[in-house]
Amino acid sequence: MSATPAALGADTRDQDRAVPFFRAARAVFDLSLEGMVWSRRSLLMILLLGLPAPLALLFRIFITRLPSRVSGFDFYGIVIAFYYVRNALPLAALFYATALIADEVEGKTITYLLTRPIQRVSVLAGKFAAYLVTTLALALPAVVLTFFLLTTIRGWSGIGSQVPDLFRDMGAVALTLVTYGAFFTLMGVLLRRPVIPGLLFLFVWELLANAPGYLPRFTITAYLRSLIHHRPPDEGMAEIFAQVLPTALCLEAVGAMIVVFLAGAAWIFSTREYVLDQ
Amino acid sequence: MTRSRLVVTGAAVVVSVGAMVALGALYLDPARAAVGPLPPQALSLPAGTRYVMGLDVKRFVASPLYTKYAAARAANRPQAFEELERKTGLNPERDLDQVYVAGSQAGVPGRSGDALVVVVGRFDRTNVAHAIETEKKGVTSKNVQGTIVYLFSEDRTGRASGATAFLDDNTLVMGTQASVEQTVIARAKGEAPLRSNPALLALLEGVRPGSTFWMVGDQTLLSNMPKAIPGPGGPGTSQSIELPALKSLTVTGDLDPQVSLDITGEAADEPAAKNLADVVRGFVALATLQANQKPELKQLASAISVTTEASRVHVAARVPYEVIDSLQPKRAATAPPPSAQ
Amino acid sequence: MTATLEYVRASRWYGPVIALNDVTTTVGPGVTGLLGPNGAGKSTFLKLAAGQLAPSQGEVRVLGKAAWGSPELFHRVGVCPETDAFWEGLTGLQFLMALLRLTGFDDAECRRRADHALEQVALAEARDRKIGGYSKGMRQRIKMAQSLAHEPQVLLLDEPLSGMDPVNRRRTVDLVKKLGREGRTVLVSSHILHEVEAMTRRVLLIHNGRILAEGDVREIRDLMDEHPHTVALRARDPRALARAVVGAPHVLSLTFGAEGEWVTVQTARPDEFYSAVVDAAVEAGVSEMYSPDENLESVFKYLVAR
Repeated sequence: MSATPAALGADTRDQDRAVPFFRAARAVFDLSLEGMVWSRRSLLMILLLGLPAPLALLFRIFITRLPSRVSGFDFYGIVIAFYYVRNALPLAALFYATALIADEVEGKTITYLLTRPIQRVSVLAGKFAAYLVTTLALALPAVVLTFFLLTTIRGWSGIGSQVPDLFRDMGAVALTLVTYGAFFTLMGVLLRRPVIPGLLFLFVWELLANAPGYLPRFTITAYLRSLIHHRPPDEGMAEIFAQVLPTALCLEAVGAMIVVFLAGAAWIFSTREYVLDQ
Repeated sequence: MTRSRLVVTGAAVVVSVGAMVALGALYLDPARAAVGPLPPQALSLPAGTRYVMGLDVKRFVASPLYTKYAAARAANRPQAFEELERKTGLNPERDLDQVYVAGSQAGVPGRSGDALVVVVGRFDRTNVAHAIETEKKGVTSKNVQGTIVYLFSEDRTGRASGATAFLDDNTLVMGTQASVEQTVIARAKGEAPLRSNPALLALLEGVRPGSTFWMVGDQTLLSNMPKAIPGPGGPGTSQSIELPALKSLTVTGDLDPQVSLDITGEAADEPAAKNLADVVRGFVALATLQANQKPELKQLASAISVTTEASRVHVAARVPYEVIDSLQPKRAATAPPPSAQ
Repeated sequence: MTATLEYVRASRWYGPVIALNDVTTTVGPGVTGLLGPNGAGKSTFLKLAAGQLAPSQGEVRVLGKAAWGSPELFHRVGVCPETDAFWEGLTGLQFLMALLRLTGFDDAECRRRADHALEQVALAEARDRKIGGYSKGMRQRIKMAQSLAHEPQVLLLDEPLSGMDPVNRRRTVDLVKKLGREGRTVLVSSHILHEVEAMTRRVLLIHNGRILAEGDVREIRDLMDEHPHTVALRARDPRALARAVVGAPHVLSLTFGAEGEWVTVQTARPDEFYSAVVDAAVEAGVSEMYSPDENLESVFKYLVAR
């Protein structure tokens, strides 16, 4: 026997306003997190972002048989500066952030989200937060494990001097994910098929960071690379034009990029019509 | 709890535990100091100090460099060290932890300047004091704020030109009488005059704790550096390259597992920094060009990197010991001694 | 009747294709059927009311507010889309609770309302099963449940009976009628006339983006009745059947089928014909009877031609 409507609680919602932003974003976050963390995409990302940890273990085991050109801390620096900041994290951002809305459109579940009394921007905010939590949960433990595996090869003495670099690197990893995530979220709502343009951006446009003069300032990676303090030396052409931008400038530029990209994505998503093919 | 929250919580636990372990290591690490690499007692140095150098004796003695080259000279251990140990019980390799040198003007040839030397280690204070009092002629002492300061007359006029004193059981300070007394008085009063030198403190904070050797200073340190170097035409030509003046210099280095050197110079402005960086890169390139005659120079050159960050120039070198070995002059083969008949 | 949905000279086009053309109509409390063949503009009509599309011209208002750009309307509007799409990994209960949270309810209220909605659509026992394992009918019902879980004043249902078996079809029809009796505004879109007739008498006929007719479904039927009605009968003795009915004044023409067993009759008053043919049908041994004019296509063709 079904319950009568009288058994339901009183409706205390303010029906003249949309659900408050943070409450709505939190609800979208809760809904999106499960699908994001527990997905085939995440399986691939675990491999991509977690790879340095087992490599660090192998390095630690076999270091005595390797020439001593590279110390454990140097290898850790290479992992952060070259592997994570320049490659793995931007790729993770590309594959997750471009799909924030695209997955819902392709799965035709976007209708449910757009027929709720919530501002569209809260949908984007909730999904972006879920992306960030997912990627940080995959990346940061690997960074921490890699750090300890590589810097304690010769014991724990002296590790205190390297700890500030660990915290700075964790901050840089987070900032990289936020910045590229914001950019690819914008691409995801702007373009129907954003992955190929995204790859072109990462592996063609971002090469400008190795150019002389002011050209690197038109890339995202130039600012993020400059935030890594224990950069290993660049080689080849990159060494000739290697530029390290001031930290304050990098933080300002990255902050501005995040705001502009997310605001642009929010505006486009809020005004776009989603007509699903039957 | 859903599966996703379980994963996220697990990740947060790993990161939190790692962060706590890291903070614990930071707190417990013996390289932790009061200001950068300086121990608290070194803050008694005069406020007018313009440069400070430091050597971590323990790390230095444990390094492959010391092991290799000290072992080669083991048979020729300085007589002075032997005598020092016999008279004072002090074995520098075993008992010294840190050595600091500080001053307000760099020495010129023939003059020692006003350098102070602070030595931190384990001393048999009675034996050391007895050795000072009895072994050296013309040594007098005076009580300065409850601390005995030993004065050495080194010049013919008998005027004391050097002094030494124990700041505490583990710290010995040596230098000119004025600077030693200044330091002793500050220590006795519980003052830290060096804290009123923000410029130097900022440079000290930039030194990576745990470095085997390091050096920070302002223009004073560089006052004896050349202002110009010969141009491409070589010495004797009218061409010369003027080196931009540096406002400050920070040098840190390690000797294990390879020789690592990081030099950061603060130039007047960004163009000056770029100019200096180009000069250094030029020398590195020159070394590379010499590779045909000396291939080991190419390896050395490739171990050096030069970058700029606003008005700072940063030179980093990572030189494996194999390269250093290859740079050593090869000994001529000696003929075997004739066999005794 | 107070209008809940208002279309004022509303048009919507996609490039050169006009999906809705200068439509002016209102929909009030109760159940209203939106009838039209595929491609007639039903979905566009519904999506404009659901705020998923903006009108290219004119206005579409729901409860007095512009439907596009007023998300707060969804406190009082529920939408059951046609597409069969879900977050397959969620259970029925999780699906409803997630959407109820997005509607602004706290967790306890979400649970109560989700349970109530599941009971309304007879899915209470399957609440903890993943939607990915639901049958087509169950999926349709859970979709229905999410549209009414927050007790909306307005319900927009796009082909709600699609994929349902007769039992659940009956149950859903009863639910829709109950919602209409409660004073809610329920707009049901379908291309099957008898499905809509089972739920309501009030219909909007839409074709090629225009409202062709609106009002009581019997009035529509009367319009149809003026149209010569074709009835095909299969009989043991078709000539005996023909002899029995040819004299009736409302019979306009008779045709014998090629196979010899069929008689096709055109009549101006189908109801009278059906009454008159009963006795003759028994004697002539009529085994089969159908009317091609019962489908909407022929009605629309007729109405368009008028």
